[in-house]
Amino acid sequence: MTTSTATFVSERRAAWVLLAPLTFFFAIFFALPIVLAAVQSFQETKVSGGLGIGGVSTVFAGFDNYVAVLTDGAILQGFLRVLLLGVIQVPVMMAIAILMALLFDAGIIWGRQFFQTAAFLPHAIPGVIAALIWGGLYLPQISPIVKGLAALGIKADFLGNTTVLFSVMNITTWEWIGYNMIILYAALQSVPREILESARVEGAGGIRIALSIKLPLIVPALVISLAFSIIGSIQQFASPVVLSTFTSNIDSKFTPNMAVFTLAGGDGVPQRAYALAMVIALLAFVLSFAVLRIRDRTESNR
Amino acid sequence: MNVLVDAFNQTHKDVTVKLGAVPGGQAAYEKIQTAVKAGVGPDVAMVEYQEIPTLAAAGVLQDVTSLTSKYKAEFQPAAWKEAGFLGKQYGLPHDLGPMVMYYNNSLFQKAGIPVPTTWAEFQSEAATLKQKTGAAMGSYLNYGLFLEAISAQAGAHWFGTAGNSWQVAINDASSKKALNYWTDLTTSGEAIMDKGFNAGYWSDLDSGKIATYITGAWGYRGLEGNLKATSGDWKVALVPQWDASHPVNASIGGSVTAVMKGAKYPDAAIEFAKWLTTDPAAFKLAYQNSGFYPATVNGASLPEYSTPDPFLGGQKVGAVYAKAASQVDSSWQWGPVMTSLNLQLQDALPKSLQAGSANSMLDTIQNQTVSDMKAAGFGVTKG
Repeated sequence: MTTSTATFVSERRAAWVLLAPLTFFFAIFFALPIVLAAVQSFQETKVSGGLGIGGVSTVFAGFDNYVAVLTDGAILQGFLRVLLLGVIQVPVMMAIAILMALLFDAGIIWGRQFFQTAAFLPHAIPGVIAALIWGGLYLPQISPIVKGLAALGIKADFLGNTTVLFSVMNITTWEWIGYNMIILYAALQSVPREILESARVEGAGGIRIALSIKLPLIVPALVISLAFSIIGSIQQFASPVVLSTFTSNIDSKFTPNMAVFTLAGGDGVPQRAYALAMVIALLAFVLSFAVLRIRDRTESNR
Repeated sequence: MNVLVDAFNQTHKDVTVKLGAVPGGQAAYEKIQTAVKAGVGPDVAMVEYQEIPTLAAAGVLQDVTSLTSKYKAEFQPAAWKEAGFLGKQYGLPHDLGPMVMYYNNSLFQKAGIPVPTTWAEFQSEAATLKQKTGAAMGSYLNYGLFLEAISAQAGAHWFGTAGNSWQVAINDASSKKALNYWTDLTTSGEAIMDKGFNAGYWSDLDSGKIATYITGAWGYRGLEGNLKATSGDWKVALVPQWDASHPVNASIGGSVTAVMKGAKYPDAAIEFAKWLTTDPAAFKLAYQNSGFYPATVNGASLPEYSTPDPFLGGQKVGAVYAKAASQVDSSWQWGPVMTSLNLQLQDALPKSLQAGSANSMLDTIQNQTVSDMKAAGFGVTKG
């Protein structure tokens, strides 16, 4: 009795000792900043003395900052844009990534390693550099694509008021197809070969195997990829920021994350940036939670 | 800036300057503000004129009126005014961006048009230029400081102070006149809107698609560094006027060597600031590296300004810059919310072009600015 209690206590102590570093750094670098941001999102800075040179004080603002950011038309449009991104870009990208992963897994493609590396390479390029490269391909004055299309009599405007969002989607797709393809390909590789063998013996063709056996078996990996992609859509930042130096059609609140950056750096009410950040974090949390719940349900149904 | 600091340290044995480079833009001011408040700030910082009221309000600037007043006569009045706020001086002006017009002289000759001296001439010549060469006359730069400068030149005063409150007049008749003038030019294809400072814009200038670039005197370095085919075709002239008998100019950009609150050696800071702006060797380095035009009254005395400039077809630019600088109206006052205001302007400008008028954009931004300032605790009366 006493020995087992002692073992239990010492095990518990060991657990705490082992958990301590993670807990410590999690608290300092993750939990604390979130708590501070949450607190500040309910505050605002007031200048005094009429002209603003009488000192600065921080006061409780209630939900003022939340109301301000959620009634800002430009910010709401930004949310709409990332929604479109999630609805249009994510499915297109996932479809291409799945197709490529299935092709590679089926061993159909000659020179698999080369093509796999080539497909993954864009992801190895830092996002800002990628956006700069694409910026050069979009800018009408220097773009070989725009010039080539013009020679064929097609007038292309990749940075136009309505087209620029699709140009952003294109960069994201280009950057992330390879990444998703690798995750899905790894999942496909771990599908037990016996299952595939027996399906083949039963007379299933390549397409039938892909759709009825392989895809259902990699649903967990698919859901993870999907969750990351959706969170990535909400967090869209680098590409539009870079492209905004080329065109006036990307405003300073083009995506929610850009709006946070704009509000935080301005001379207005920086606490509004915290309020918006909390909204975005909550949204990302709810969406990832929903996606993971869907996965759990599909898992338990099997 | 590195070369400048090295040069200063070599010639000044009693004072040593350490340079801390911060990224440009708003992030830099945030970083400086945080550092000053934490008591680990720099003694001096290069601050753009339009940020002085904001930083003064944030309490990060050191009042150095008593240390600097003896130098007042050496500086352009507009620069001197913008280096301070409400009668307090926060440093010494470093450079000024008097608005000038860089123009592609060979396009002008092809179209047979003279250098316009008024905005009316600019507009009528724009039609001729478009007809004869297909080129657009002007660049409607979607850049807050440009929009403020053309408004200021037309007589606008966006911000002012009266007693204990700010006066805000962003949507006055002068601003509407200036912005609608450019809206009309752009609508008719005689000007092209661009954010500027990007490869596409330089290409438009270098391929003869746009004939003029109106900007601060410092714009020269960007032109020279990015234009190849038309090097030698360009010249610089004074900016066109609304009323040629009363020439008025405005400044685009420019900065102050400002002393930060808590500076341990404010007098050494001023010595450095003074050297940075008035020492010929220092300004030669600044000119070579960034094309800054000095904020001093005799800024054009730098020998480089009286040497024929190959990019500008052998023109000697000093006289143009000096006159442009002397015409800068010193009654312009920056407000305490320039960063967010400039972003609002840049965000809204494309829509004003679609609407064909800048009126509702200026009205909206005026109302937004007043309500934002009131919410932040400023006293505001309409200007």
